[in-house]
Amino acid sequence: MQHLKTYFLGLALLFFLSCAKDNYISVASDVPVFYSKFTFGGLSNVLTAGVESYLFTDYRHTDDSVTVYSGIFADPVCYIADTMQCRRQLSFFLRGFEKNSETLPAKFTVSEYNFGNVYDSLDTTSGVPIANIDDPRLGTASIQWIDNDGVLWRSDLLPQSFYKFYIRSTDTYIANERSQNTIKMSVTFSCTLYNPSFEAKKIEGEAVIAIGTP
Amino acid sequence: MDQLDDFMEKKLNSESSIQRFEFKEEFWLSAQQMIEAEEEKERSNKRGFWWWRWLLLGIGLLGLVYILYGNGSESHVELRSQFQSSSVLSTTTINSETTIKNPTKAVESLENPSISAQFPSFTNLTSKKSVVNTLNNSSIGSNSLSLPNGLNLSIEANESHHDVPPTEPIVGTKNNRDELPQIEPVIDGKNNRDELPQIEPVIDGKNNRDELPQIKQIILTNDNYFDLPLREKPIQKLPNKPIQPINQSTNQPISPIYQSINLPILPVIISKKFVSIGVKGAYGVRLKDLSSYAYGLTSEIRMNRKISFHTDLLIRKINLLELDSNIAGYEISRIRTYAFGFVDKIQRQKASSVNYLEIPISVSYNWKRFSIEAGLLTAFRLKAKGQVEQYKALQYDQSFGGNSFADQYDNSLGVQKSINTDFVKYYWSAFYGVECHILPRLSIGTRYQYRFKPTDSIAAERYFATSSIDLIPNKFKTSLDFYIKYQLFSFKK
Repeated sequence: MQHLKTYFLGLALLFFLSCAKDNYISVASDVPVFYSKFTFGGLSNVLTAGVESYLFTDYRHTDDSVTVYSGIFADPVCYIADTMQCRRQLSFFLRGFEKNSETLPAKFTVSEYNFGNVYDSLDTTSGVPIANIDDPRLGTASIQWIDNDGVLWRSDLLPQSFYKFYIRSTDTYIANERSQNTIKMSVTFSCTLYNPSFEAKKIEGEAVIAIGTP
Repeated sequence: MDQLDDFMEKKLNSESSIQRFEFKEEFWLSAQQMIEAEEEKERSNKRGFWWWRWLLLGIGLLGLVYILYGNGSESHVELRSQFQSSSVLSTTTINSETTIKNPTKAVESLENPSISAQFPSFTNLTSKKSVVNTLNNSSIGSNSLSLPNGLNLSIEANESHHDVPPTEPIVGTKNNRDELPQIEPVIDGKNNRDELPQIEPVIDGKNNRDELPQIKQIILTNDNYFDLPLREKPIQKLPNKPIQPINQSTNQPISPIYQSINLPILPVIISKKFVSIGVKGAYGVRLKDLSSYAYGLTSEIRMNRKISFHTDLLIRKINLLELDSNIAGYEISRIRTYAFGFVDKIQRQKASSVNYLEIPISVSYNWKRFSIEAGLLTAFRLKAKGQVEQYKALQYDQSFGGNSFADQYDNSLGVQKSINTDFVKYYWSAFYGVECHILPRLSIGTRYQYRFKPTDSIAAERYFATSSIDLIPNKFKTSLDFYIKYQLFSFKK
């Protein structure tokens, strides 16, 4: 009889231990996850992924082995057809901190989160204009906006007189449509954008974006 | 090569070739006549071929009619003899030729109660045996026969045929009608046809027509029937109305409906008014695409021999599997979640069949075993059967070449017997058809149905791909049913 009790007790213990909690984490949300609210030239704009735009995340290596991480709000149909002709497209580019890096960018990982300081990506102290978005300068950020008229505005055409780029939080996120890893981050930004005629307009806002990572 | 060209040119331009191919109109006319004659011959051959086809078809139809109705008439006779009452006699006539050929058979015919009143004097024969003996004893050579009541019947052959042995049965040995002697009746030694006295009925020795008593209408009773000699048994006229058989066990007239049970070849319905209830099964062919089948109860109210009213209660199951590739299904839920874009999880009930309750009301015209009907029909949707499928809609999908707004099949959540559907709740139809009673209770028929409100024109907008919408309405407008009907009960009205 004693053995029988022990047997049933052990059986019950085995039963409860077998009921492990499902570690499935649903990342799906019933409200949009990624968005960007900003003013450009005094006009307010809102881009929401899953509503009027899709957030394309990617990373690529430049010719001089600098890794560029990107998060782009764009209409998917337009973006696939012709990326540079897609209006109301907002792009964020973050350059890696070191060349030939195939690992996660150290300063964008969760462990390095909440920088809270200006990310000195658009250093104009040297007085040398930042040439273009593929500038191999490490640890910089740039913003690109194609307005309603299809005009391209970039932050790296001329030196910034006033700028700030905060990464307020970072988090790992689900893989994107190409099965790349992604990092979700909350940022605020304020800088000047220039068109090809070097006309300047201020952009200021906040966003929750993601970037693709290796 | 030049030499060859020169040779050909020389030959063609030579005088003999010109003469040989010189145009002559009469040649062309004769050739045209030959061609036309040949064409006419081919046309006539074709016409003949078609005439043969029509002829064969006609023969086949006649054979069919004979098979269907020839047996039916025999059944009538059998039925009549089977249920024949003693008061009902049929009329037959005595063939004089038969009498000469086979006297015994003739007398048997005389004894048969179905002797016509056209020969009342024959009924005065005393007995069968006397006549047989008389006929047998009388040779063909003498050809005279003494009948009772002073009436002599003589049979005389033409002189040119006297060489025929009198004892030889003429008819039995020679059946060539032309070689047979012309037989003339001779009465009282007179063979002149014009001088022959008119045979007068003789009753009780009186042959004066004016003095002849009128034929007595003898009322038969159980007491006097068997006492009366055969010759005095009255011959009554057939009733001037359809023969109604009598059930021998119950001694009651048999209802025509039950009569049809005993006559499987006869049309099922003979009575004037009745109500019947039966079962019905139909297979419908959508003239464009879909098929269906129906089953249920059917009823008929026969107003008279020609006109009937029909109404059915049918469950029609429309098969939608043929449209499976185009049906999107009835969307029962859509949950959108957001990430880089949106992802929709959609559950759809995809009907594989939809049921309708059909109530047709029609009037039919009955002709022999065929009925031609026309009427209106209303149908109400009952339920649909199908399965629940889950789909996924992505705002953007790299695997589909970048952008994909089309729903992608995810998985099936199982079959359900009752699901929602967008198929219309009711519709109206007009129909006409033909029915044939192949057995007393069994009928087959066909019915062409036209729907005023296309069944699925509304559903088409939701159910089908845009490329198919313009084709959908016609798919549901018309259908052709082939059905079989079995009569369970019937009641006299």
